[in-house]
Amino acid sequence: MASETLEVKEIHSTHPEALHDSHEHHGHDSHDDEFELPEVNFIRKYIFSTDHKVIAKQFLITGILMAVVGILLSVLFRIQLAWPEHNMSYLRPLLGNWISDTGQMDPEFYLAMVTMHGTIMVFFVLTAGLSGTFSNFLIPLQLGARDMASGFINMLSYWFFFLSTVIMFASLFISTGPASGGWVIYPPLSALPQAMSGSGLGMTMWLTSMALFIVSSLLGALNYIATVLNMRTKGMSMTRMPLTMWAFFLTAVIGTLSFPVLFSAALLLIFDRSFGTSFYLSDIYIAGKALENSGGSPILFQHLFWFLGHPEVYIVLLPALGMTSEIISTNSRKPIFGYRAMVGSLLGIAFLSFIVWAHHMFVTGMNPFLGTVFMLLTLIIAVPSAVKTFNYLATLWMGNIRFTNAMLFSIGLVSLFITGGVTGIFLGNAALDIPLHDTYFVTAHFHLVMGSASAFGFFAGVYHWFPKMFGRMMNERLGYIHFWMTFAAVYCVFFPMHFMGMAGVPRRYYAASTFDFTQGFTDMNAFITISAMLGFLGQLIFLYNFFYNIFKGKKAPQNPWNSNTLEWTTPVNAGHGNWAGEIPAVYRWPYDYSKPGVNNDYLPQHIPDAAISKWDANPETASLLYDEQGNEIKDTPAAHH
Amino acid sequence: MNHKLKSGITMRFRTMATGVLLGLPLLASAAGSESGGDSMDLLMTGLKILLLITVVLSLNILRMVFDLRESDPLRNINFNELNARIMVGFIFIGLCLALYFSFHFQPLYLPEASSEHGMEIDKMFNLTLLITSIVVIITHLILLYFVYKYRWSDSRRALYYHDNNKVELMWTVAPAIVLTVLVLDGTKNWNAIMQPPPENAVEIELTGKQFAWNIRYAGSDNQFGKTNFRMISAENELGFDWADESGKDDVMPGEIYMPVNKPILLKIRARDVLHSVYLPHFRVKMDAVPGMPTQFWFTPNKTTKEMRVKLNNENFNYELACTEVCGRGHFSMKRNVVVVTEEEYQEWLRKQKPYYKAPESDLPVQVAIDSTGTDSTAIPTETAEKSVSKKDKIAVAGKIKKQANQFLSLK
Ligand code: HEM
Ligand SMILES: [Cu+2]
Ligand SMILES: [Cu+2]
Repeated sequence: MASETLEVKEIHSTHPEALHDSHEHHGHDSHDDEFELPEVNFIRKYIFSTDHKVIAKQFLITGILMAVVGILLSVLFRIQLAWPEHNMSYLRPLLGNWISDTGQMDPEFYLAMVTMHGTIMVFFVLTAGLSGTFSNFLIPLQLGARDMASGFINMLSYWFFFLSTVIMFASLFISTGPASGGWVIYPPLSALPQAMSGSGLGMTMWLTSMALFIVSSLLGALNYIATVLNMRTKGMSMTRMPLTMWAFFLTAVIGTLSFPVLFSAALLLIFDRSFGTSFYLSDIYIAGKALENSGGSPILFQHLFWFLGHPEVYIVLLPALGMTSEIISTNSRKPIFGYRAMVGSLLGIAFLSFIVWAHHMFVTGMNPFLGTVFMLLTLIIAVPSAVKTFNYLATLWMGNIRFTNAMLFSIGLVSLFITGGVTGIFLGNAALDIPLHDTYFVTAHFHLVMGSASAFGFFAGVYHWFPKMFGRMMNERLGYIHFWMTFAAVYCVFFPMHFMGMAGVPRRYYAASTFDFTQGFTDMNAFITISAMLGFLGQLIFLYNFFYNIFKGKKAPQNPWNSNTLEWTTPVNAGHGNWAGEIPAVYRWPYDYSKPGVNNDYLPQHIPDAAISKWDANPETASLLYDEQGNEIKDTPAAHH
Repeated sequence: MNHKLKSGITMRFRTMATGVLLGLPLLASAAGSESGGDSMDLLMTGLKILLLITVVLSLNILRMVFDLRESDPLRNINFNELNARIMVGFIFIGLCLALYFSFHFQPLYLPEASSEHGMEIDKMFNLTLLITSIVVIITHLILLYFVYKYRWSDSRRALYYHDNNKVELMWTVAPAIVLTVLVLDGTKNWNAIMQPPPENAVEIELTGKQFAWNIRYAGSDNQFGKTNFRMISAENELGFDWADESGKDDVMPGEIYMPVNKPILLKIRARDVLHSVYLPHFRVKMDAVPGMPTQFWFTPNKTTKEMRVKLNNENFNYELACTEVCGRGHFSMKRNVVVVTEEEYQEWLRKQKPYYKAPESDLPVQVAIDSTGTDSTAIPTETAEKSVSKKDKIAVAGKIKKQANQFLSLK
C-alpha cells in the first residue's frame, strides 16, 4: 500500500512490498481484514487528511450534526405554531430572553429560527453534507482514481466548510440573535440593524460564514470537475460513467458557475452594511431617521441571489437523483432505463437551471414581460424532470426488486419528487403564482421536492455506501423502521401545507391569529408538529444505527449489494490510494444487471467479455484484474478475492 | 446464559418496546387534540419526560430485539415481502387520505375570487390541479403496481431491457404538450392582469412600513400630493411636501374602501424594508419596494355585504396582509378592506378628513394620526386589534395578540 504521505503521482506506481502486506485471508468473517497501513500519525490520518474517503466522512458527520441542529430548530418553531399559548418558560435556561417571563417566544426569535433552519438545511446539510460527502467519496472510487485531482485542495475545502459551520453555529448564541430575515436574506431588512436585531452581528456572521462556505464549495467543485475530466481509469469513457458521476459532475459545474454570483451578492451587501454604499438601498426612512442611501435597488439583490438560488436547488437535488439512479438499478437487478435520456435530462436541467431564476420574483414588480419569459423557461424545465421520473418507473418495470434500506429511500424519493414536482407547475405559472407566492403552498412544494427528496437521496446513499465507508453493515431492520417513520412523517408534515396554501396562509408568520383567513388551522398545525416530532424520533433511530454500527456493525462483505461499479472492487477497508494493486480497467457500462448469457444477475464493469465465464463461475472469489483477452493479471494480487 | 432464559428475556423486552412504541403516538395525539391550556401543558411536560425515557429505552431494546444473533425472533419474516406490502398499503391509503382531505378542508380554502382576474386565476388553478392530480395518482398507482408485482423472487430474473427511443420520445413530448397548453393559458392571463390600468381606475396608495400599512386616497382633486422620504416624521407619515397644494386634500383612512366593479389601481410603496401587499380574496399580491414604486390593478366584483350573505358569515371581512418578511411584526400588518357600491363609496369618501393640518391648529393632526393609527411609535397591531375586538367571535386571537404586543413593544 502506498504511503500516506506520498503524492498522487507516486501512488500511481505500484509498490510490490506494500502490495504484499495487503494480501491476506479469504472468508468474510475474518477479523483482521484491515490493511497494514504504514504508520501515519493520527492527525494526518483522521483530521488533516488528504484522503478523499476520510474527507467524505468528515463532511458526512459534520453534515449529520448540523442536520440535528437544523431539525431541532424546526421542532422548536413548530411548537410555537402548533401551540401558540404554550408556556415555554422551561426553555429560558437555554434561550434566555428570547422567551419572555410569561413563557412566550419572541417573534424575532421565531424568524431567527426559521432563517437558521433554512440556511443550515439548504447549505450545510443538503449541499455540503450531501454533495460534499458523496462527491468526495464516490468520484474517485467509481471512476477508478487513487484520489481527487488535488488532495490538498480537497482538505482545504473541508476545513473552510468546518470554519463556516463553526461561525454559523456560534451565531445562534450571540445576544442579538442570528440572522433573522429568512434564508434568502433580502435587503434592506438584512442590511439594516435598525430593522431587526438579527441584522446586526448575526447577519455579519451569516455573511462571513457563507463567504467561507462558498470558498469551500468552489474548492470542492473545481476538484470534482478536474477529477472527472482527467482521472477516469482506462476504459471509463464519459458514457460509461455511472449516473452518479454525471450527477456529481454537473452539480459541480452548476456550483462553480453560480456560487460566485452569490459571493458577489454577499460582498455588495457587506459593502452596504459596513461601508455606506447603496447597492441595494434607496429612499429609506427607518427608526426615526431618513438614510442617506439613494439609487440602490433591493431587486438587484434578488436577481443575484436567485441566480445562485435556483441552481442551488438543483445542486441539492441532482446528487440525490444520481445516487437514486444507481441504487434503483442495482436493486431492481436491471439496467437503468434510458441511460442516454437520463444523461440528457441531467444536462437539460443543469442548463435550464440557470435561466429560470426570476420565477421567484414574479410579484416583485419586475417588468411583466420578464415574467412571461421566465414562465416559459420554468415550465420547460419540468419536461426533463418528468422524463427522469418515467425512466425510474420504467427501470422498476420487469425488475426483480430487493427492498434494501437504500432502495426503499430511493423509491420514496421518486414518490416525493413527483408529489413535490407537480406543484412547481402551479408556481411556475406566473398568473397562478400571484396568490400562491410566499404562502405555505411554496413551503409544501420545496420541502417535498427539494428538502425531503434530497434527504431521502442522502439516506439512500448512506445506507448503500455505509459498508464501503466503514467496512461494516448497518442494521437493516432498524433501517426499515427508520424509513417508514420518515416516509410517513414527511407526508404528514408537508402534504397538509398545500391546504394551508390554498387558504392563503402566508409563510414566516409567527402566529395565525391576526387574520380571519388564516384561522381554522389550529388542529392541522398541531397535527403537523406532532408528525414532525415523531419524524425526528425516527431520525434518532437512524443516528443510533449509524454511529453504533460504525464501531459494532457486522463486517461488510466485499460487494454487499452485488453491484457493478468499481468502488466494490477495492478492499473492504481500503486505505489511501483505494486499490492495493493496479487500478482495474473498465470494459463495459455499469448497468449490466441480469444480462442474458451471464449466470449471475450482475456483471461488474471491470470484467472483459473474454473473462465473463471465468468470473461467472465464481464471482466471490474471482480474481480482480483481467486483461482484455480475459487472462488474469497474476502478478498483482490486488484486493483479496 | 441459558438459551431459553435468554429468549424469555427478549420476549419481555419486546412487549415492553412495543408498548412504549405504541403508547407514544397515542399520547402525542392526545396532547394534540387537547387545545385547552393547562391540561395541555401538563400533557406536554409528561410527554417530554416520556419521550426522553422512551428514546433511551427503545434504542436499547430495539437493539436487543433486532441484533440477537442466536435466537432471532423475527427470522421467519420475509422482509422483502413485508416491505412490498407496506409500500402498497402506504401508497394506496396515502392517495385515499390525500383525496379525502382535499375535499374535507374545502371550507377552509379561500372562497371563489372576489375579482375578475381572480376568477380567471381560479379557473386555471383548478385545471392545473386536475391535470397534476391525475399525474400524481397515475404515477403512484404505477409505482405501487410495479413495486408489488416485481418484488424479488428467486425464480425470476429481471428483463435486460434498457432503451426504447419511441417510448422515451413519447414521454418527452406528452408532458411538453400539456405544459405548452398551461403556459399559453398562463401567458394569456398574466398579460391580461399586467396590462396597463384603465384611465378611470380608482387610485389607492398603500405604503408599507414596520409594521403597518398607510392608506392614501388622492382626495377631491384626484391627485396625490408630492412626497419625499426625507420629510417623514411622526406628524408626516408619508413625508408630504406641503408646498405642493395637491397633497392638502389627500386622505389617509384606517381602512381600505373600494367601489365594486370599478377598476382599482393600487400604487404600492415601502418606507423602510420590503413588504408585500397581499389581498388574498382578490388574488392580488405585489411587493412593496423602498425606492421603487410598484402597482397592481384589478376589479373587485363582490361587495363585502354580498360575500357575507354568500358565505353565510356576517363577520366576514376582506383583509390586507403582508407577505414579505419584514421583521417582528410581519404577521400582524393587517388592514380591513371593505368593498361597497359606488354610492356608498362616494359617501364614505366625502366623510374622510384630509391628513393635512393647518399650521394654526394642531387638532387635525390628532385626528389624522388616530384615524390611521400609524404613529411611528405605535404598536403595530393596534388597528388590527381594534377591528378584531369589535367582533368578539375571534376570542382566541385576543390573548395571543396581547402577548405578542408585549414583545413588539419590548424593543
Ligand atoms: C417541476 C419543476 C419545478 C418548477 C416548475 C418549480 C417552480 C418553482 C417556482 C415558480 C417557485 C417560486 C414559488 C414562489 O416563491 O412563489 C419555486 C420555489 C422553490 N422551488 Fe421549485 N420548481 C420545480 C422543481 C423544483 C425542484 C426540483 C426543487 C429542488 C430540488 C425546487 C426547489 C424550490 C425551492 C427551494 C423553492 C422555494 C424557495 C424559497 O422561496 O424559499 N423546485 N419552484
Ligand atoms: Cu427556482
Ligand atoms: Cu411583512
